[in-house]
Amino acid sequence: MGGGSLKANSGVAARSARIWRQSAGGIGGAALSVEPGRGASERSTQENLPRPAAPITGWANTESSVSTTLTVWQNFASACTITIAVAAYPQIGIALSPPAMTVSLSPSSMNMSTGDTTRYVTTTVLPSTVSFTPTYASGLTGDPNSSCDASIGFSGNGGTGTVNSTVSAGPAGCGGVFGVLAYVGAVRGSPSLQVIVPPQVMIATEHGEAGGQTGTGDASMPALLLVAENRFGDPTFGSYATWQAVLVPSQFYGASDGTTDGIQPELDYAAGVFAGTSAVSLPPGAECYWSPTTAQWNSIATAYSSGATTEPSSDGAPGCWTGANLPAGDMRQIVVKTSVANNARGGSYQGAPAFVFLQLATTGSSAVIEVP
Amino acid sequence: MPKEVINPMRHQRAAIIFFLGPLALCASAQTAAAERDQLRASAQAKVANLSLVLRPPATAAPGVAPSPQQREQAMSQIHSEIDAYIAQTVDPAHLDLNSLNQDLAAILRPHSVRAEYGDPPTAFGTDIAGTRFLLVAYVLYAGLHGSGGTSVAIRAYRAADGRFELADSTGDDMDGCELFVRELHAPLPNEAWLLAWGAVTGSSGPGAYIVRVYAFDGAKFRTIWRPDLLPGVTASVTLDGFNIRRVDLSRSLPPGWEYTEDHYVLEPGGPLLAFSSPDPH
Repeated sequence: MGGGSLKANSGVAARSARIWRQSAGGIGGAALSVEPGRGASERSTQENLPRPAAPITGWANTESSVSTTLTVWQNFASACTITIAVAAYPQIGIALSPPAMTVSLSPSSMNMSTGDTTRYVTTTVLPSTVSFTPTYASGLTGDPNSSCDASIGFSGNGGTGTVNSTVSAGPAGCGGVFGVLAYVGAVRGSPSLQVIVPPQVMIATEHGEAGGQTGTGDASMPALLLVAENRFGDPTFGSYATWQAVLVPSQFYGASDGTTDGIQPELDYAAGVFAGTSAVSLPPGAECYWSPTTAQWNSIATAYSSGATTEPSSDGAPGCWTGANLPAGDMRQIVVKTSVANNARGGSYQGAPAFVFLQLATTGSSAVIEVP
Repeated sequence: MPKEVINPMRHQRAAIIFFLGPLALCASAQTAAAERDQLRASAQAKVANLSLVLRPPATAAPGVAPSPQQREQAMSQIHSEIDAYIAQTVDPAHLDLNSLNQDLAAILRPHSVRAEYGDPPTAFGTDIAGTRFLLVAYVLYAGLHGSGGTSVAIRAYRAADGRFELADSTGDDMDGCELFVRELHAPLPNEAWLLAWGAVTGSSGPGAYIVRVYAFDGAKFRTIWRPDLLPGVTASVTLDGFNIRRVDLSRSLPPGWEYTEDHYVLEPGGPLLAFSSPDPH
């Protein structure tokens, strides 16, 4: 903080004033003093603040008033009381009126990839004439099912009025959910910021498996991540517990996609599933999926409308629970999720949903069920 | 010249041999068939029991899962059962692959899958440097998905002393996959080449496939071709090589998969990509 200004006016009773102080940013001792003008004297604060590097000058002296500008060279560690008495004229008091500084931070939430280099937060300080360098306190509030914790950092640039601070996250591929507070001096910005950094493999898998399904309201991308999430802890899928362990090319070929940054809408969908805030849901047993062709979809739709209890042949379903991998007493059941849009390619996929899902059900159940 | 004395008993014996000989042979064949049926039934029962380790019955206590060691041991024992069955029942001089394939399918019934996921157990016969060999391919399902989800068997048996004995196998190279196998036109004399491919169990979307070309030289298998995982594969054999149809990610906007067919020709050093062509569908 380059310094705020305080105005000392005569003609009021001597009193104390609260002024701002900043705790972060390596701020040293606060300094405030008044260079006595005519008849004025100085008295240090209760904290015995050191003298300023430069005197206050320019007292204006008229018949009716005396005034000057007090410049705060340093920031204050906490609110403190300053009493200034004018010895020669005890009836004259000086009121120090610190400006009402407000610090705001936007946005209140942000999703980002460890590969992003252009994401920033905006800190705005009023009065806009104040020169400042915001500092940020961040903490990991969650790291759900990521094999490694990311950390985030902010650029240290300053300015007046509004400052954009670039946010970075790393190491590449790690994840985390962070709470961030902005400070200007001792003033805490409002609101706090939530930063969600999903593991990059979630973004890459969405792009590699469903990159063409970008329509508004299409649940394709989050749904396929929920399939992977459903595998957490399932011993028949390896009992894995992290996104990095589950989303591997041998199980989700799209995980080999080379996307390294936070492309949209993949980033936002991945962040929602990672942080558990996604509104999209999937039955917990749906652990496989595929994209049926039109012909395959027709056989699925027929089985659904007829209430069949046997999976249609040649429906294109992947090799999940095949052979002796199918638990005794169970059958495979196709789950059609109506919020998954049709395959955007058309052609041989015309009219078929981009994805249908597979789960286990007790033998004799419906071969196909529908969920919203 | 003394007249030949006709010994009526001799004629009787000849007649008996003449008439009963085929009957004896027939009886012998029947005995062999009965023995084979018995051996098959025995192997079938043993494999079914061992498979229960891999796939516990619905009545089993919930949450009781076999350990990895138990699975591995069960699958190893099933492989041994197959080896023993082949050694005991398959006559190298009278190789009937159809019967053998049917027997293997019956014995390995707990591990059968729909045709789109893999081939039934498949046997190939081949002669290498004057010796007869039997190549057998099948999959055991371990009740899991992905790595360790299956045990893929591609095993070679050498004819010796009127029976087939295990010579070599491809090991665990393709474990975790389903399996299709085709015999290739080997570009080297005295070798048998196989094209094998299959999706990794549990792989979603277009599926992740392992593809291999193996050569067997009468003693050992060697891996001729080991490409990276490929998405959405089907394959076919040609006169001079094979074709691989696969999802072409460079042209796809997922999940609108576009396919490309790669045409490979076989050279002694391995397959060479001759050309690729988009596969409209």
